[in-house]
Amino acid sequence: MELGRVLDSLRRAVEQAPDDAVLRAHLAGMLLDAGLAQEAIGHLGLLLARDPGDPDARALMRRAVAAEGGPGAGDEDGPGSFDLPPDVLGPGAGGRSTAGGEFDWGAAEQDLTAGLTHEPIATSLRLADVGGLEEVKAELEAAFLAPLRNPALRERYGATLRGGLLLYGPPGCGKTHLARAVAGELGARFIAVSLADVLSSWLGRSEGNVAELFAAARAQAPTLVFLDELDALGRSRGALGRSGSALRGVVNQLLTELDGVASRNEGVFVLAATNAPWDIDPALRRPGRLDRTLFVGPPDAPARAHILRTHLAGLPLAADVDVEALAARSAGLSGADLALACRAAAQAALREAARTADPQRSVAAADLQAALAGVAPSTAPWFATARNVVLFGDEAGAYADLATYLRSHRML
Amino acid sequence: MPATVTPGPAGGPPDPDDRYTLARGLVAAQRWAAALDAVAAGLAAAPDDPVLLGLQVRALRALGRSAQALPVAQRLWTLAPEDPYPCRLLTLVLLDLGQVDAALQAAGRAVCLDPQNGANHLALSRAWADSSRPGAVERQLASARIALQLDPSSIDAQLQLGTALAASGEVAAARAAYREVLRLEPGNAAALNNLAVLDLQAGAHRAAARTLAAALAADPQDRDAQRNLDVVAVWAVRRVGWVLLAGPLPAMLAAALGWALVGRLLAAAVLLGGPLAATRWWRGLTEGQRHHLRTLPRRIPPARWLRWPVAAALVGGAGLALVLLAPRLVAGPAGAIWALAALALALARVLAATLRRSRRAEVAGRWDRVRHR
Repeated sequence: MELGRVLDSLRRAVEQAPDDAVLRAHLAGMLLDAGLAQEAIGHLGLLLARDPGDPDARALMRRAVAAEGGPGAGDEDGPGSFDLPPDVLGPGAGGRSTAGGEFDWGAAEQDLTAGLTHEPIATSLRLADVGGLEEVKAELEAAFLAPLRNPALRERYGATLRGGLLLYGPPGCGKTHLARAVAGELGARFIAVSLADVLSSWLGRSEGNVAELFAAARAQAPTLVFLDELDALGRSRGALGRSGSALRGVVNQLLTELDGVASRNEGVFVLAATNAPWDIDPALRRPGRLDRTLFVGPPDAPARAHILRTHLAGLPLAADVDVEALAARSAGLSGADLALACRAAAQAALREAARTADPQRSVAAADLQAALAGVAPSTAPWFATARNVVLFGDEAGAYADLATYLRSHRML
Repeated sequence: MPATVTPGPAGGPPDPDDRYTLARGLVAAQRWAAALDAVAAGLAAAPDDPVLLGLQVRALRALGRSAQALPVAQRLWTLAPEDPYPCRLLTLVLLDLGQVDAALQAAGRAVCLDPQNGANHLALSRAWADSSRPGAVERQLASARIALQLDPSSIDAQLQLGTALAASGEVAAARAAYREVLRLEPGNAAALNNLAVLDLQAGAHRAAARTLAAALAADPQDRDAQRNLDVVAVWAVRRVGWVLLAGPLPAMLAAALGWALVGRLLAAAVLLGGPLAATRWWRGLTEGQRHHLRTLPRRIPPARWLRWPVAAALVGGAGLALVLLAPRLVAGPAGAIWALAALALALARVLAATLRRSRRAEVAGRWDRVRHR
């Protein structure tokens, strides 16, 4: 009875401080002593997922597996061999044994990651490299990045590393770019997933892929899961026709995973992006799931200047090119529109250089101004739809930030 | 293992449906451009794959590229001439392109190939809906009824039945059909829009405005609902014209009877009360309605709907000026001229409205857009 109370206290303490490896290892050890090997394996799995080389955790895991009667049970050196013959396991298969006969947890961990289709994104981009979007960056910082970097802060303010943030806005305005920057901040602890990653022709496998994705995220926690084009992945189930049964299963599984009923989601933060939040299944936006939304609108003047500089970098520019002035004259254009204008200006300068046989011809301010004038904001159709959403379909005020933007830009 | 669950990719043979999965999923998610890419990748390996060709037709139609979809649909039909599905797809593409007679032939063939499939009768009903042949309305209705009989749970068939009933003048039954759609699928934008069209045709503009707002809430990209909301906005502006023309009448009457002071007071009340009432009315509108009215000139040339209220405002304003500045003239020739002008304007308005109504009856759906799924 006394041991049970101690274990309860320890469980609560681990819940409060999930990153405290020593505490978790202690709990696992006590659980083993109490004969609760299965629960101990769960905690030890988390410890080894974070640090596969942890000798204490490995020793405890060997004990736990032995107690459960799993592979290698009764073998003091751990699960070094399996009963299946090599021809069944395939070439090279023979268990994860090192030369010393000890189970190679690091290699097993690599196998687990390699088996997933959701590869971590490798990028050197950082949030500081993203021009503008200050509000979005601040929200991301407050919701996930700052608590992640600073456990003391997290403890002090009772912040959790779970939850979700939905970025929405017109296409070409930097939502995915922002996510890539978050990936750069997080390194390998970032899993990006789109509809193509999840869909499988195998019945029930698409749901399995979603479950696998979240299992991987939990194993590598703290992790940020980026769901790109959520309107495809989490499309409203009511709008799915007869051919959408696979997608319906994906949405249901996504809801289950976001709730984290089966397993704890501490350390799993979900960032989603969409051009059409009104097409997303409403259940996905309920509290506890993707309950925070942020509007990512067309870039403001400083952001446009930043984007222009990025796209003009490497081009021969004339002395009269004033990026700030160009940014001021390109209000309403998305990042994609600006990129298009820069390409058009470069092509115009190239044509002119070829026509006049002047290899020194640079991209002049006039080229850029003409190119910018020739680009119509690609966001216009999106805003036409968004306006209808705000005017007719937002009694709950879910799109308050969008309405504010539309009003401030005289679109309402 | 349950019979419906096939083994995963690592544990079983390759699935012949594998190349369809992504394209089907993208079509279901309405990611049309991405679906086209996925289909193209699949067709590179199997150029005559009928499933992929069908998905390609659907994606092209959804993107408004029916002209490009036509050769694909025709190819699909030649590949599977005994299958009604290509015939149905071809029907829809031909209807998009306005080739109604050819669409009727394709839909008829689909029905011949499989008369027990409600979808084939539904395609035929849609083709008859676009046809101007004698008896088209009756045939549209008959086909819709068969389609629903064969597939009672089909929302599309129920919607088509409502449209067919409305076309044949059975308004109450059409309403019931659309309400049944809404019972089966609450928030169905097409049913809401079509109910609003019935309201518009019955002159219930306020009810239509509410229903259209609900349609736009359900589907913010619904162009038909937006255009129908324009009809409501134009109606509201035209009603203002009547108020402007009739407003000075009591003051004019009082002045004509020699009660100059009463006439002036009434005219002042109109001048003060009119803007107040207008402000109250404006504030009573929803934000969406206000925005729609404000932006109406961007969508419909003002010359088409502003002439009447402007003319009414001028005549009404002249009447008020006469009462306020020279009330004695109201009983004389000036008053008579004003009365004649007002009467002529009112008659012109009524005549124009009557003509427009009959013209609209000839060119069905010019403004009041009935929407199919």
